[in-house]
Amino acid sequence: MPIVSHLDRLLVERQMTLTELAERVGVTIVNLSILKTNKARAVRFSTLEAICRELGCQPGDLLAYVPAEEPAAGPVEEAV
Amino acid sequence: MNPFRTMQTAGFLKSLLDLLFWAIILLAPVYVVLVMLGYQRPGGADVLLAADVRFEPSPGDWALAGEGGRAAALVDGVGSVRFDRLPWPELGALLVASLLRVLLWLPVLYQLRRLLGAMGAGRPFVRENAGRLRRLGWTVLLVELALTAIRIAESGFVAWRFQRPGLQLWALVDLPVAGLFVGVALLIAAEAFRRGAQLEEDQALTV
Repeated sequence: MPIVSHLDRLLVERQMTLTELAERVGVTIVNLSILKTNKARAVRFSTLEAICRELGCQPGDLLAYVPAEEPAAGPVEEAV
Repeated sequence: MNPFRTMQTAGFLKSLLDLLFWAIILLAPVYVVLVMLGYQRPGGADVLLAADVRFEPSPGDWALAGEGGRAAALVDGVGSVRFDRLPWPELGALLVASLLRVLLWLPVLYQLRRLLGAMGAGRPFVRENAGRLRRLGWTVLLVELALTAIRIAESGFVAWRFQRPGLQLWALVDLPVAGLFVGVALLIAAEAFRRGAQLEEDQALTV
């Protein structure tokens, strides 16, 4: 997934635990963990709004687009 | 819809299919023995072998009386041939065909039991059930085609061996349209299940 989450970095910077954020935002720790480990397929605007409110950040601080790496071109040497 | 009731219904249907599945497996050898012993007995068999054929009587034999411009004749029909006595080669061939007509439903019953078992255990919209439904669809299609091939071969064999002057017999060629539609409908349902499973996964990974 080329969209990555920086939730772990933001939590460290704000000195906040995942449990604390989950309580403040009103979502389960499991759901926040899905977001933190980049397994989420979709994020509700309401969740995004609540996270940004509690962490004092912009959506762009939380999510970033990282293009997937393409396989390197050129001949492949056989391993000996 | 009450999911508990749905699970109970699935469990009940699976029990019925289990019963049918094992009844076929256990009774098939009994059927073979009964047929073979019956045809060996001088008095005649109790369990008779039969095959469907198309037949055409001699012209004029089956004329239907009619008034004025309504005279008609029965030109051909479908009949069931029952065998009172059979020599070994024919008995073997017809017994195998008769047995296959029943045993070929076992793969369908097996797939249905697995699907109902999985549905009774939990959520229906999972990728595994979509795969099971797709396999069931293909199994139904292949079984229907195999059964048709067996029926054609069996009635062709009977027509070839037993026709006599004045009565022409032909193989009964009848495409299993309804069965093939069921198979295709199952494949379409499998695709719907696959999409449903995908949506449920998306839903589970939405925060």
